[in-house]
Amino acid sequence: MPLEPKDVRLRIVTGKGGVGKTTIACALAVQEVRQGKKVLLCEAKGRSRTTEFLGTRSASEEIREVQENLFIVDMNPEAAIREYALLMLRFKPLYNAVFENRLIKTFIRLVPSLGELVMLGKIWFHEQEQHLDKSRFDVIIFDAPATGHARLMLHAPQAMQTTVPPGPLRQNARLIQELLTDMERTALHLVTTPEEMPINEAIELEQAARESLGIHLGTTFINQGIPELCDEDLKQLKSTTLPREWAALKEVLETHALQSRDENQLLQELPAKMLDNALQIPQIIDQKNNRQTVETIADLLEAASHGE
Amino acid sequence: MENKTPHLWTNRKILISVGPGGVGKTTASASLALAAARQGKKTLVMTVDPSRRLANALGLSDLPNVAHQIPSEQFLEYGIELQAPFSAMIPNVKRIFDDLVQRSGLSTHRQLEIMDNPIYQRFSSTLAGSLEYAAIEKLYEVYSSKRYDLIILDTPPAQNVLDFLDAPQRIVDFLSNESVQWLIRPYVKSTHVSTKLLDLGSALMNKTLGKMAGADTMKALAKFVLGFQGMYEGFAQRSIAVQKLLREPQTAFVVVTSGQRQQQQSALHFSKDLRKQGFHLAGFIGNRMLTPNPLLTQPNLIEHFQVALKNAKIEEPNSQLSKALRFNVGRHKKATKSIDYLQSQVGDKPLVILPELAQSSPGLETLAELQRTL
Repeated sequence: MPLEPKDVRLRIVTGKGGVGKTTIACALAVQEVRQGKKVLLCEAKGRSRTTEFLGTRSASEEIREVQENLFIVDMNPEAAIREYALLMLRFKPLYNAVFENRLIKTFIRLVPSLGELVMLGKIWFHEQEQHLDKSRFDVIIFDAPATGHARLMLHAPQAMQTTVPPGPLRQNARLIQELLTDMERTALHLVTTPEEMPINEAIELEQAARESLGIHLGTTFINQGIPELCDEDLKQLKSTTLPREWAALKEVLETHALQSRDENQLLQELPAKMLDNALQIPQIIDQKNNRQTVETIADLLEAASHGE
Repeated sequence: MENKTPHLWTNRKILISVGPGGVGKTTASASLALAAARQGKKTLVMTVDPSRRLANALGLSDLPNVAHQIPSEQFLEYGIELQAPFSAMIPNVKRIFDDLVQRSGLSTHRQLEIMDNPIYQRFSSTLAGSLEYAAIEKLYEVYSSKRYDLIILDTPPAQNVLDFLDAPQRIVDFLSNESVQWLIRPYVKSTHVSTKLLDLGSALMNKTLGKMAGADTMKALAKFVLGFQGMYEGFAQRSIAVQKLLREPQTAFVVVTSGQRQQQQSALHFSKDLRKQGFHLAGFIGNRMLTPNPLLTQPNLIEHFQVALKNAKIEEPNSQLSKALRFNVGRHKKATKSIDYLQSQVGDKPLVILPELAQSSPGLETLAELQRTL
């Protein structure tokens, strides 16, 4: 199963909490860096986890290059709105006079979609950003919040266009919306595990992406599945003679087969279109640290992107 | 795994389960509640975001914000005789806030004005912290009704446990926030000369923010804050009472984690933060962990298995069977290590290990199975 789409400017990674979004986002970033691309990995979870996952320096509000061609940034609504207001007001003393941090925090929390919009605005800005006559970043990977919040966030540009009076903010919302809905530039990658709740959330988000958000789906990642074991395998197991003290092994494998069947059944709930473009990332159990896990997954992605 | 040590709920009236996302907090909380009801505690589990199957199993699908007692016969099927009633509830944020407004003593007209306000609607549904606030508010209400011996509150997943506990204070802070008062200044007539300068700054700020968010939004915001002024006292008092309740010895936290190292580290962080802040810790639940199986640690197990497969004329070494066995051996090794790690980190607090069960979507049978361990 190849990795789809091959070349986009923005990959948005989301899924239910705990399914491994950050691991997948990091692996996507590492894989793109290996192709010689300049990559910006954006986090937006209130706590940078890059150190944990990549073994590099942690992200801050300022963009940092943590290894060659891999840039990371930890976004938050307060910092994003500060940047945005500075661009708009073009005069720092005035900004400081008007904006007090506590006020901004309150304000963002209250005005529907504003915080979400300015973070997407930051991503849009870096997508547009030029350096020496070419794009500063080849690809941006957005390790987005979990499904519920991600959905609100991706809806923010639309919401803002209907609530905000004509002016720069509405104009920006429209540009962000254009980026998100442009299948040449943006792909939404859903991550799920073969479990009920994550699958349901993935199904719901896929539907929202199609019906209301207008964002195109890239490869779906089915993370942490166990090796498949089917009835045929069990039949073979039955015909195998094991020493008596190992009889319990059969039980272990039978339980495994049950779990495997359960997982397959749950996955069938996914719409055919998603399943056709899904990549299974097996549970990785023998790696010493997260970076190794990320590298292993990047290997799988690389193999997939070569269509293997 | 029978242990004779006290239960996690011994001497407690409220248990709050916290943990990072994806560890199965909801299932663990519901199993814990079931175990307590079996042992004779009249128990309520409040769960914020159950799976559809679990909500159905608990009979909660169409019952937001209402405690529902699950008929005890339903558990007989699984060989469980409840010694006390077992109830469950899904708190509903919007309704809890509406209740607060309705109980505020404001005139009906002003109540409707608040509830119609778009900022209120945001505040009471999607605002970060409102779910947490509502859950704690409901907990306090149910606790005060004295209808249960034990209430177990299952919290939304968090990056940081204090986000949850700070929610009531944040809401109060917000309502009393000086900067919010600034926002509404242009909408409140002032005649005092000394405030003129402040008004100027406030107007400038309003204009700038209005440019971003729209003048209508600013007006709605001001109206909302003004509308809530009369309710502030009540909020503040309630928040103090809630904070006190959460720190009393009959209230304790259960930190739920899984076999994954990252989640264990987050969970251990949670427990440290909780203790630092003066909360009581009942113990830890290691959820969905494999039960150690000594067979899987035998040396050369895979090689011997492959020989057996060969003898049975099954193609090797790439058969799914040996792949699956290798996976199980690896998983087992990792699970044993992770149990040891957790054990070494929890100190004097009890750690209950819940096994991973074959079915991946929990129902009553899952709870029935898990509660045995608890």
